[in-house]
Amino acid sequence: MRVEDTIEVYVVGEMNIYKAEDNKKTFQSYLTNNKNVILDLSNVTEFDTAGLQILMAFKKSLDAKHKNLYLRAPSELIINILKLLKMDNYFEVIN
Amino acid sequence: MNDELNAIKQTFINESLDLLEAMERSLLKIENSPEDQETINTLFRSAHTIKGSSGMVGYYEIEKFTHTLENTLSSIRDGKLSINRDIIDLLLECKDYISDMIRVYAIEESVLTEEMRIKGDLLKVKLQNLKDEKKVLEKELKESSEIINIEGIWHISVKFNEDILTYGFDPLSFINYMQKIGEVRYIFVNAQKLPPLEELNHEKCYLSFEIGLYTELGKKAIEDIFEFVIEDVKLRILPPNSKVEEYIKLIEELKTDSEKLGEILVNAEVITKKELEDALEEQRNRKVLKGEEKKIGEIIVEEKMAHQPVVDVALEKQKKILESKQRESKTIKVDSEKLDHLINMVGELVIATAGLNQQSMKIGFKEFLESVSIMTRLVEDIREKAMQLRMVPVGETFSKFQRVVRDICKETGKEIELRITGGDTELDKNVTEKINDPLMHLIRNACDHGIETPDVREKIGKPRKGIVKINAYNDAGSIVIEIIDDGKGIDKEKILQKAISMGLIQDNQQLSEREIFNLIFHPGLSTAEDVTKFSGRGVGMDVVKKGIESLRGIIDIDSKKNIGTTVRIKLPLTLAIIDGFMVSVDDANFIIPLEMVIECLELNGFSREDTNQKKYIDLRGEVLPLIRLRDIFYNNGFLPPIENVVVVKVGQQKIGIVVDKLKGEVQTVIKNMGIFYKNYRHISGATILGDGNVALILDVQYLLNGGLVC
Amino acid sequence: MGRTIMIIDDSASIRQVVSLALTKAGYEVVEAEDGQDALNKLQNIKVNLIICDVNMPNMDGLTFLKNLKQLSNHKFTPVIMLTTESQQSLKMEGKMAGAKAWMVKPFKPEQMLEAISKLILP
Repeated sequence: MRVEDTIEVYVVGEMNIYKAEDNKKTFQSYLTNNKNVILDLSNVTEFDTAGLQILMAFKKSLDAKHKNLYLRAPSELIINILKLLKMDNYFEVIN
Repeated sequence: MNDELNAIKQTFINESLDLLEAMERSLLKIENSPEDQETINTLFRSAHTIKGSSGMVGYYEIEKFTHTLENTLSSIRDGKLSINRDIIDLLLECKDYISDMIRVYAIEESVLTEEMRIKGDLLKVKLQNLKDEKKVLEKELKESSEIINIEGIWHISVKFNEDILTYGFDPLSFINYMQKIGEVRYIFVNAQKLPPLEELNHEKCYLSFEIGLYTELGKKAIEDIFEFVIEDVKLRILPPNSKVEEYIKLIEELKTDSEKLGEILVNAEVITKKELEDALEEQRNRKVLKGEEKKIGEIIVEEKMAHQPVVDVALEKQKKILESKQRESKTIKVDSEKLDHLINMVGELVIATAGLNQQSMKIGFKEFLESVSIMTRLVEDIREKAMQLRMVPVGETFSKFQRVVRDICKETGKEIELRITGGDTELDKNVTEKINDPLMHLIRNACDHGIETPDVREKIGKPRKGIVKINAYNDAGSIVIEIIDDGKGIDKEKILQKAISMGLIQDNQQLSEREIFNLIFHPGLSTAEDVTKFSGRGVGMDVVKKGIESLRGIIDIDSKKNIGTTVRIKLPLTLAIIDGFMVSVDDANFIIPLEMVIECLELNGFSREDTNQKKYIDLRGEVLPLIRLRDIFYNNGFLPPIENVVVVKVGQQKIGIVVDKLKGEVQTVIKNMGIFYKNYRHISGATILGDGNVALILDVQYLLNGGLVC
Repeated sequence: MGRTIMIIDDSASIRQVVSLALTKAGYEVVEAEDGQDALNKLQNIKVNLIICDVNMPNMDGLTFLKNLKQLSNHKFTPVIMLTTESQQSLKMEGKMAGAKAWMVKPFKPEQMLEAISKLILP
């Protein structure tokens, strides 16, 4: 993973249905760069189905461009949910 | 440049296909020797090489997929995951999938179809689940020494209404809650419907879930997780295989009177009420939308609510319940007194209607007449139906004889088959009860005296097994019951000799075959040489005949040597109705059962004084005793200018009943006389005529035996 | 992470019982006396779940719910409606208005905790 190919995005606070629209718009804006994306999720305080769907859809869009999505240091909340859904291996998690 | 690229691609294709072949060989080898570390290493290296080269050449999808595969293989290599047949199967599937991908991307230079893409996702999930399963197992084995029942996993399929999020519900919270009632063994998050980010509606729920839950709790408890969203979720809960037997037992032991399959399954807690509603809706939908006619059981299995074997058992149960219900509905036990009462009331109704009819004629008001005639017809129908209430199939009585025949066979060493036909022919309940003993006797006779021993039968060219048939059918308002055997037949000579020695007939008397056979009904005339346990002791054919005649029936016998004997009984359908012959003395009406009437004649050929004294007449050379009804019921009154004689026959006896007028045939409903008249034995009952008048039914047999012959 | 639950009921004792059970289970609790009171309080705070009585003075449960659905920062919050057996007909009306989760009074505190854990993540 070369640094110049990658863009880092920090998500702070809620990643739930209330913020779904905002998050979607933010993530979408990074799709145009044609770069790999590192999402720093260490400061996410809320996470729900809406948040998960946005992450999955984001990954799908990046996949289509042959770009990777990395989740960096997801908060325990997110880790727990991914574990619950047995999706530990779905996203590439980095620390 | 293009050529170079093509050359690289070609190299990649050749190399990869070789490697895949090597993989397949390795896998098959490992299956037989799972501990072969060398082969496992080869397998891993093959996958690793494909992954690396596909990434280099730019086939990222192949790279990603092979990456997942490589992870699994590395777990196997490191001993974290042990090989079994299922894993080999899965790995072979993965190998095939990779070769498909190479074909599509590198050879056809195309893209994966949606179907292939989903297949790939599913394989990836399966590969990941392999690892998870191992982890879970390891973790649990560490935590408790208890053996985990992998079989005990419920498969739960959850699909939410896409607006669920806007209602304030988070699907994840429900899934999270599952951990409280059990252990989530696997989850497949189905993102098939999830669009790429650009097209995502952030308020919609696209995900559905396939969950493997290990829990001790039942279906209801699992369904209850979703109680608050039950109307907004498509839920399918397939019980673990291990539950199948438990459910089957539950269904078998279930006490329910519902004959509906769905309700049986709900009562046995195989499916929930909600599932049943869903299944019924699905059934309706399929019919309306696709024109499919599906049974509810099929829907329940197809929709993964229950296993086929469980549904099969429930269907069995349903059949049993239906059968028992039909049996219940076939018979209602009613106190026969109530029935008699009803029939009496109906009789009264008939009479009242007749009265009404006469009144209406007098009034002659057209509309009134019409109404009355409608009512009369209805009342007639009611009478008919009321009479039918007493009718029961004779088959039940017949089937009791099977046991009798079986016992006789056992005792005598004979081989006899009892064949019953016409068992659904109906007969008055009272008659059925009274016919039992005579029939029993006839069956015993047939078996005992009719059918030969197997050896004898064989010698004369008959099958070893004899056949006794009991057959019933309707014939012109009567029921005929035949007992037919294929035995040796009745020996005419023996009967004749015995009858002559008993003085029943004269030596030189000419008798028809039928008359000879009918001699058998005389008391004391039994042709059997040995008296056996079953027949021929005391109770003779005479008793049978009396029994039949007391039911106003006729018995007849026919026999052919070595071919067999047929006994034919003709009975009135009911004791409640008789075909009568009406006569009158003065203004009193009397009914004589029609079947006893032989002929009628005027008495004017004889002088009254003569007959008054002699009390018999000469009927074509035969002495005919006379009974004067006038003498029994009237001491005086005006004699009519011409008296009539009704010649009746009871048994072998004939008498003449002297009456004033002959009135002809009538169908009569017998009404019992009140207790007040119980000493008037020469009357067996009464009937009420259409015009409201009463007619008394003569008990001819009593008249004869009561020494009232003039 | 701290989860905040709002209980709206005009009966102080019900509020108290629920509040006690929830606090014990580790939830933060905000109490409101009726729909209007709740709407006022929601202007300043965010809650993860709302438990709301149907029959209340000033503003009843269903009116509160309709108002809640208009608030962009609260409209996706799950609501458990409290009702009594005799108010079952309200349930139909309530479902139309978007009240999906119902609990019948009286209930045991454990039942409430179960319901809550089905509806929100811990």
